[in-house]
Amino acid sequence: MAGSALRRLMAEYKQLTLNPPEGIIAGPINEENFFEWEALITGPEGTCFEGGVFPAKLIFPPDYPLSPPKMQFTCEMFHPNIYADGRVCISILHAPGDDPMGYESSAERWSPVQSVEKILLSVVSMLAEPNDESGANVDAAKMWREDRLEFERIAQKLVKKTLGIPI
Amino acid sequence: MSQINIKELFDESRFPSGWKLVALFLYTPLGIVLVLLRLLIGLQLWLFASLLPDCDTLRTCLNHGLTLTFGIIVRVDMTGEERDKKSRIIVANNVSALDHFALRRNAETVTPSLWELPNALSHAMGLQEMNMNSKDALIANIKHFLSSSGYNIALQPEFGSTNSRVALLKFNSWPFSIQSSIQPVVIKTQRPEFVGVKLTSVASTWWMDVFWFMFVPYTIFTLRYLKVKRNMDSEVLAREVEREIADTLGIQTSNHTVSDKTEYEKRYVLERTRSGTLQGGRTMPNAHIVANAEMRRMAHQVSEVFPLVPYNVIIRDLLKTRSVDVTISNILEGIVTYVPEPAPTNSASTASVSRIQSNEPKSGSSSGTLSFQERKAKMIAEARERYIQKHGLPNC
Repeated sequence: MAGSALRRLMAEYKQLTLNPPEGIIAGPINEENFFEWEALITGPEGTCFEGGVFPAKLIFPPDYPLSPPKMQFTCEMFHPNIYADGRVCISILHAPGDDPMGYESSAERWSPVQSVEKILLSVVSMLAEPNDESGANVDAAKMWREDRLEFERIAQKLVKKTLGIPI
Repeated sequence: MSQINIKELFDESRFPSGWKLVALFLYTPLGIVLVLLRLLIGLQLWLFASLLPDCDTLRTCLNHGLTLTFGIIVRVDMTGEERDKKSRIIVANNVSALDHFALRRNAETVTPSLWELPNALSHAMGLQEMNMNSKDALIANIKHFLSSSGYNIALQPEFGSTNSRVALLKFNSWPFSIQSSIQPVVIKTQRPEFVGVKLTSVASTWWMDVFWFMFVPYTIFTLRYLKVKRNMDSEVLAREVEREIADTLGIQTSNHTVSDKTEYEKRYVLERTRSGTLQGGRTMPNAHIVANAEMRRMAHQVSEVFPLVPYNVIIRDLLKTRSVDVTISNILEGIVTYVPEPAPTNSASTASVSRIQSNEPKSGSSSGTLSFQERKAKMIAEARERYIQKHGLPNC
C-alpha cells in the first residue's frame, strides 16, 4: 500500500519540480519521509493576501491517493476557511463520505484523480475568494462580511510577517 | 595571453590545396612504395631490438635505422645558443608525434612514455618507459633516472601538438619543478614543397602522423637551442620559457591547455560524425548519442528529486534500470547506497540568498537545478524584494 503511495508522491514531486505552478513550490521536508511535505504559496495578486509567501505542511495518509492529505498552514493565518491552528478547510481536502455540512458537491471533493498541485491551486483561489459559509474561523468570516477594511489590514500584517518585514 | 580561438591552433586537414595537391597526387604511388619499404625496415629493426642483446652499438644502429624509417633529418640552427651539457632537462615545443626522436638524435635525451618497447628500441626512439600514475611519481622517476643514467630528459610541457603557426598551448609548470635550470629548445620542421603534407591535423592519431612521416620523402627538424633559464619558482620559469619559445617561433602564447585541445577534438569528432550521419542517413552512431542525451535527461530528473545523491550514482543505477521511477524507488528503498554530497546551503541566510539571486539569471531553467530548500529561500527572498519595491519601503 505504502509502496504505491510513495510512487505516486514521487511522481507528483517530480511533476511539481519540473513544471512548478506560478507562485507555488512544494516538496518533502526530508527525503527520508515522502509523507510529510512542505509547501509555499504566494498570495494571489489583487487580493488582500497579495505578496505574502505562506508556508504550509501537508501530511499524506499511507493509503494516499485514496484518502486526501491534511493541510495546515504553519504561519499565523486569519481567513474564514482556515482554523486558528492553521488547518485548511476546503472541499477538495474532504473525501466524499465525510461531508459534515452536506453542501459540498462531490465534484469538488477529494478523489484519487486530484493531486497536490490541484489542492494547492484550490488553496490559492480560496485565499483570493474566501467562502464565508463554511466557518472554520467564525471571527474571520464575520469580519470578511462586515468590516472588509479591517480584514485587509490584518491580512497585510500577516503578509509582512511572512516576509519578515517589520510592521 | 590574448583571446585566441582554439580552432586556429589546429589544422582541419593535413593536405595542401591548389597545385600542391596535384603534386601530392602525382607523388602518391612513390609515397606508398616508400611507406611499404620503411615499414619493412621498421619491422627489421624491431626484430633486431627484440633478439639482440641490448648494447650501445645496437642502440646507435637502431637510431640510424629509425632515421631511415621515419625519414627524419635533424639540423641544429647555428645562430642559436650552444647545447649546454650541464642542464639535464631540455624543454621544447611540441610539433609532431616524433619530436622525441629528433631530440634524441641531437641532444641525447629521452622522453618519459608509457610504451613497452624493447629497451634498446625505445632508447633509440628517444623514449623511456616510466610510471606515470601520478605527477609526483613521475617527477620522482625522472629525478631517479637523471641520477642513474647518462641520458638527459626532454619534456614538452604543451603535452599536445599544434599547427605551430598561431600559438603554443599553455605550458604545464610541473616539468619546471624538477630542476631549477633547464635549456629551452625550439623545434621547427619543414617538408619538401611538392609534398606539403602537414605534420598533424585536428583529432589525428599518432599512427596517422607516423604514416605520413613515412609517406613523405623526408622531414627536416631544425633545433634551435636557447639560453639556459634558471628560476626556483617553477610557475615563473614555465611562463618565461613559454614566452621565449613563442617569441623565437614568432607565434603567441595562449591560455588553452592540452585538455582544452582534447575537449576540442572530441567535439570536432562528434560534430563530424553527426553531420556524417545526417548526410549518409546512417543512424547507428546517432542512436548512441541520443541514448546518451536521454540518459542525461533522466539522471537530471532523478537528481532534482534527490539533490544529495551524487550524479554518478544516479547514472550507474539508471544504466541498470533505464527508468526514472525505478531508480527513484531504488534510492528510496535503500537498494542504491551512496555517500551524500555535502549539503548545499540549507540554512541560507537572507544575505546569501540575495547573493545567489544577483549571481544567477532569473530563468525558469536554473531554478530546476536548485534544491528544494534553496528554491524555498529564493522564493521568499524574491517575494520580499517585490513587496519592498512595490510599497516603496526602505530596504531593510
